[in-house]
Amino acid sequence: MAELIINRDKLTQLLHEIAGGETEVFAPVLKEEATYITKISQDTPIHYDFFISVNSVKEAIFPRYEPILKYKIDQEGVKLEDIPPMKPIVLFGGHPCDAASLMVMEKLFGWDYNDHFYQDRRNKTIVITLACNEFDKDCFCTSLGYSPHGEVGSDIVLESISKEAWKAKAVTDRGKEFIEKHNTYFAASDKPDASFKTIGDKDIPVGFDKDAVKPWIKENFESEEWQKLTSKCWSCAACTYVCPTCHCFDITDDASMWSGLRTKNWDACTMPIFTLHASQHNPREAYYQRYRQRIAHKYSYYVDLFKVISCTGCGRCSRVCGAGMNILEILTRISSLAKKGGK
Amino acid sequence: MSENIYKPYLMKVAEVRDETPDIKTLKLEFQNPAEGETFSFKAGQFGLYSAFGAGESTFCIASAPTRKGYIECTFRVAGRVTSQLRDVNPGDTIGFRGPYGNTFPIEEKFFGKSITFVAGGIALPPVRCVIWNVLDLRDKFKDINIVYGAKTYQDLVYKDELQQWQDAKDINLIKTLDPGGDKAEYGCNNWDGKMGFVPTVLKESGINGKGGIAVLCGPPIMIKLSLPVLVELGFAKEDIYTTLENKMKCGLGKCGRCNVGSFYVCKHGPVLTAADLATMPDEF
Amino acid sequence: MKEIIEKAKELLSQGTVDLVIGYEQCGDKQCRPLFVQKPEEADKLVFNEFCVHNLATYLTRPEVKQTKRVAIVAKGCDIRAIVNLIIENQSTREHVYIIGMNCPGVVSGKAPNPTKPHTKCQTCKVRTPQMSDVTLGPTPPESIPMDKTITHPDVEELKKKTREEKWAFWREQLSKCIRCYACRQACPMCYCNRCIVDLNTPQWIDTRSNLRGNLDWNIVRAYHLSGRCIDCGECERVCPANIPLMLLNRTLQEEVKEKFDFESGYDLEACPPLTVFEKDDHENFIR
Repeated sequence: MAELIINRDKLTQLLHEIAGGETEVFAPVLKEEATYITKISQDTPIHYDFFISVNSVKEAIFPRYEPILKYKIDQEGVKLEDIPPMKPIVLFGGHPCDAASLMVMEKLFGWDYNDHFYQDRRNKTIVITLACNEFDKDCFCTSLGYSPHGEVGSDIVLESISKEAWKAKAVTDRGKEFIEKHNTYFAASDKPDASFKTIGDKDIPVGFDKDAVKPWIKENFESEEWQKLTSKCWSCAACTYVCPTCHCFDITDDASMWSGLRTKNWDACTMPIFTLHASQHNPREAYYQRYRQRIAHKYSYYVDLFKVISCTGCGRCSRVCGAGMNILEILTRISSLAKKGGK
Repeated sequence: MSENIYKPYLMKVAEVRDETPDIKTLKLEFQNPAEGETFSFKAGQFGLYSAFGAGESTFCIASAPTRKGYIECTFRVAGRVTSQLRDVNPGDTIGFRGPYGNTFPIEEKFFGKSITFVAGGIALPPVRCVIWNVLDLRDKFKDINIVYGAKTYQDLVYKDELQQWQDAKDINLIKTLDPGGDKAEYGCNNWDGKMGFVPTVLKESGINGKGGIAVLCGPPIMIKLSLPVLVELGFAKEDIYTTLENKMKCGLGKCGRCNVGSFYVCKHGPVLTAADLATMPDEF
Repeated sequence: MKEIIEKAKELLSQGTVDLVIGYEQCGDKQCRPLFVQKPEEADKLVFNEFCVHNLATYLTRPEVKQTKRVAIVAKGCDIRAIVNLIIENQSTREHVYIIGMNCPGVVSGKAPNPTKPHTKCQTCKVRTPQMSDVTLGPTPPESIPMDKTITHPDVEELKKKTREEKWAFWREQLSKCIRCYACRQACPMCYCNRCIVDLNTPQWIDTRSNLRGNLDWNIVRAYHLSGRCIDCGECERVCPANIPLMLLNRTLQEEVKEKFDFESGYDLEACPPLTVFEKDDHENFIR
C-alpha cells in the first residue's frame, strides 16, 4: 500500500465527522494548559501541539467507572438487566508507549475469565498512534524494548513529515480498512518539511537492564532499599491512574430502594485501604509495602503470569508525582544493585 | 453478546441460622432450578455473595459439595455488605458468583489417609465443607481428628454439628475454649471440652501426624503458632493444607488486590500447603 | 546551600534528631523531598525557589512520628502547617526541630516549566519564619504586615459570578476529578486515620469518579479544611486534573477571616474557630 498523507485540518474533520456518528472518538484536548486524551464531540477543538498527554489512553477502553450490572427490585424479587453492548471507538493521540500498553492489558482481562467489558471494547477500537517527535528525562520506552516509532498495539501509526502533516502507515488490516473507508481525507503526497526534526530510538537512552529487575525483586523482597526508594511517596493514586497499564479496580453498588447499578471503578494498590480486611488487618500497612507492590507487580508478578512487563516506559507516573518519585530512577537503582549483587 | 463474568446467580434464602451474636449462616437455593442442576463445586472453593444495593463480599462455600441442591455460607457481620446480609429473611433474594479458586485435593491426596482438621473461631466454615465431604465418604479415610477452638463458648459456630461429631464413634473431636471462655455470661454451663489455646491443645492431643493430612484454618496468629506444632506431630509440610484469605473484589484475577507475590489467592488459591506458604513473600 | 547541609550534619551527628526532612534538586527546575538519616547523606540538601513542597505533610506519618526527634526544612508558610498540627495534637513542639528558611518566594506551575511566581507568595506574611529552632538564609524582602486583610483576586472574580455561573463553573471543574486523592495525601492538614471517603458503613461519599461523587468529595474536603487550610497550595499543585482547588479553599478561608477574624497557622495559642466552642460564638445553635 502506498504511503498516504493526512494533515491536521483533514484529520480534525475526519475525527469530528466520526464523532457525530455512533462511534466514540477519543482525542487530545487542551484543558488548563495541559493535554488530556478524552472523549470528544463533533465540535471539540482537538489539540495537536503537545508532547504527551497527562492521562493515558487507558481511559477510553477501561473507563474510570462503568456499569457491570443493572438490577430492579420489586415485590417479586430481584431482576437482572443487560448492559448495552460496547460502542466502537476511534482512539487517537496516544504515543507508541500507549498503544503497546493495550497489548499488556488485554492479557490480564482475558486471563481465563474473559472480561468482555474490556475485551469487546478493545476489539472494537481503532488505535491511531502518533509516533514521537519529542521526549523528556522521564521517557524510557527503549529500556523496555519499545521504540518512539513503535507499531505494537496500533492499527495506524502517524509519522510527522512536517508540523502540520503526517505520513499514515496502516499496521493492521483494520487500519488499512479504516484508511480505505476514509480515503478522501488522505492525500497521495505532500511536501515534507526538510527542516522538521523528529527523534530516533537512540535519542532515548536505555537506562537499565529490564531483565535484571525481576530476579532482584524476587531475591530482595525484604531489602531495606525499598524503604529508602519510597520514603517520599505519600500514597495517593495519581501514578496509577495516569498509568496505561495499571488495571486494579473496585466494585461498588449504587442503589435506590427499587433499582441499582453495580460498577467497576478504578482503584489503586498505592492507596492505604486497598487491601484492608474487614477485620482491620492490612497485609500492606506501610507506605513502602504499597509502592513495592506497584513496582513488583509490574516487573515481577505480571512477568510470572503473562511473560510481559506491565510497563511501557511512558514516564507518566514520574511526571505526575507531586512528591518527586521517579520510576526510571528506581528501576535504574534496582538494576545497578542487581549488577553489583547488592541488597 | 459476550457473557458477563460479573453477573451473579440469583439465590433464594432458604434458611437463616444464628451461629453467634455476630455470625450467621445462610442456606441458599438457586432461584432458577435449572442453574442449580448444572452447578457444581469442590471443597475449598469460594464465591462472591451480593446484597443488592450494598455490594459483594467474599466467603467460602461452607456446605459440602457432596450435598446437592443448595449452598451455605457463614459470615461475621463486619462491614456494609455483611450488615445487609445479616438482615435477610427466608424468601429474600441475594446474588452469588462462583465457584472460584482451587480445591482441596481430596480424591488425589486425601484418600486412604488419616485426616486432622484444626480450626479456630470463624475459620471453621471452610474446614466444615471439607469435614462433611470427608464424612460423607467416611470409608475412604483412616482416623479423623477435629481440633476446634474459639475465644469463648459464645464464639463457637455450628454447635449442633459439634455435638454430632462428638457423638460419632469414628471421629475424634477435641474442642477447646481460650482461658476464661467458659463463663456463664457466654451462655456456657458444664463445658465438657478443653481449656486452652488451639496450638497448646493440639500439642497435647497425642495425634500422630505421620503419613496423615492436616487441614488448618484460623486467624493469622493461630496459623503461625500451629504450623510448627503440626510439624512436631509428624505431618510433612506438603501435607499440611490451609486456606489464605485476602480482600477480594472480583474473584476472577482481575481487580488486583488479593495477590501475595505472584500468587493470586482468587486464582491459585485459596487452598495451599505449608510448603507453598514458606516460599511466598511475607505479606499476608 | 551549605548552611543547611552543615546544620543537618550537626543535628544528626550529635544525635539531636534521627531524621532530617529537606529538599534535593531533581532536574533543572525541580526539587523534591529528601529524607536524610545519616550525616553523609546530607550533602544533597538544597534550598531554592523550586522548593515548593510543604514537607509538614510527612510529620503525621507513623514512621516519622516514631522518630526520637525530626528536623524539617520549612518555609514560613510550611510552619503554619506545623503550628496547626501542634494545636490539633498531631505533633509536639518538642518533637519537631524546625530549620526555618528565610524565603524570597517559590515558583508555581508544573515541572519542567514552572515559571510563574506562586500565588501564595504574593500574599505572604511570613517570609521570615514566625517560629523556628534555627533560621537560615539571607534576609528576605519584607512581608505583608500580619494584621492586613488580604483578598485574592481570583476569589474576587469568582464572587462576581451569579449562583448559576458558579454552579456551572464548579460542575465543570470538579467533573475532571479522577479521585486519586493526591490532594488529600499531599495536604499536611489531611491526616485522618480513616478519611470519610474511605468509610463505607454507611457510604457517605460515592467513591466513583462521577459528578456526584466528585462534588461530594471535594466540597466535604474543603469544608473540613475551612479555618484550618494554611494556603500552601499543595493540593492544587499535585492535582493531575489541574482543578483550581485553592480557589475553593481560599474562598472558605476568606469567609472564616470575615466571620471569626481568624487566619490559621500563625499562633500556637489560637485554635481554628470551627474546632472549638466559645461561649460568645455568634452562632447559637449549640447552646
